[in-house]
Amino acid sequence: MARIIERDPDTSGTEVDGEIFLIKAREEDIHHLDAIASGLWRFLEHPRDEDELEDVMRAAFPDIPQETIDADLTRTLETLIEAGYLRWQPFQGRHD
Amino acid sequence: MPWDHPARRTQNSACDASNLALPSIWTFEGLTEPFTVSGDAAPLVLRELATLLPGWRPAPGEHGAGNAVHITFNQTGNAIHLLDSAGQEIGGDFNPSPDPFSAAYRLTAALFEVMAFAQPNGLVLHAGAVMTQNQAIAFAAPSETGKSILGAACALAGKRLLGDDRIIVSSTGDTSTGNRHMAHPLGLAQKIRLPLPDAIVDEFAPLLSLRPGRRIADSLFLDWDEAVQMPPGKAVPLSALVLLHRDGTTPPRMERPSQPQAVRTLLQLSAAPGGPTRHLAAVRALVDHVPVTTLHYASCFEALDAIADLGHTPRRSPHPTPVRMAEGG
Repeated sequence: MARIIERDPDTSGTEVDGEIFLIKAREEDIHHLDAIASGLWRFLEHPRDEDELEDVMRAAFPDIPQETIDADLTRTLETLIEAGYLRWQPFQGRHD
Repeated sequence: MPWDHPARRTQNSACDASNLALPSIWTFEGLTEPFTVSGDAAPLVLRELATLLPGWRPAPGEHGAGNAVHITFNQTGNAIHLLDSAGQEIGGDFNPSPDPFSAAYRLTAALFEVMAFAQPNGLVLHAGAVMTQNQAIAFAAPSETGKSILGAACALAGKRLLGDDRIIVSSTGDTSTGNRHMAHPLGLAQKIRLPLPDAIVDEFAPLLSLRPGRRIADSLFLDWDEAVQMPPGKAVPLSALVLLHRDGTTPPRMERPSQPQAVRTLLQLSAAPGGPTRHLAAVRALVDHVPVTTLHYASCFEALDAIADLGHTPRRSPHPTPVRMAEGG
């Protein structure tokens, strides 16, 4: 059963020329996302399941080996989840 | 242990309050109201403040409830408390300082943030700035990476400086002038880290001879020079911002960073009171309206020439050097 991932509701994103800067409420840090992570953030405007994320990333970068994409996606998600900008939900059905 | 305990005194500190005659109320045009300093350690801190801020002119006065910023020092707590006229705390640095000089340094940082907060999109930028054709070009870089040496090179070349370490930048919101951003000199002493590199010792000797200043540890705080340093209180239009990279590139190379790169770099090189949202907005406004260039260089004189080219003023350094321009991210 695929997990749902969503943005942390207390985090806001500001876009500068295609790249996102994140600020979490009541914290002082500003986190810059590179082009790929920014694309991921934009895709997560609504909660998505992790299978969707893999499909989108593979389609966006067809020339990159699948294993590499999966590894990059996992690493990016782990970083953003650990920082509190994204979070997992239990699977509750598809959100559009 | 109190600051003026004999065991704490270091070679170059001024930990003797017995004959200090500095006033405890300072007025400054950049602040909307005077600020007062009190507490039994205040004279020690004010003595050090005079070294850090030689461009400020303290005025004697009386304590009063109308003063907007009130700072308290005591020799055991060593805390900086910034209070408004109603006695409400508006910020400060509450960690004990090991000595009066450190407390004075922290006080300048706190005061600059108060000043920046009073300005639209106000930022304290880790940058120096040099005057060219009645406008300022700022040069920004992390600490100990060459700003002060470049500032000294500017002074040697006869250029006027707004500062060599920190300035405040703000926006006017007035597009009719064609200049939305302004640079504010802060009256900080020029500081040179010693020992100087062998390659420039001889060329910098005249500057050190004319303005011997005061040495504290490995830093030399130069005497104030009105002919070189702009006094605090009057803002100047900011025409360009240069991000310095002293990486040995010769001849110097300039490139234009992407907007996100410039924002990311300037977030690390600035401070803005009022939280991260305000900070990010102020940096974005700066990057949107002031041309930002990255300069890779080897020597301070090459950097000076490159910055002079930006301002389209005649070179005045003794080592004119061609500059390569590249587009890059």
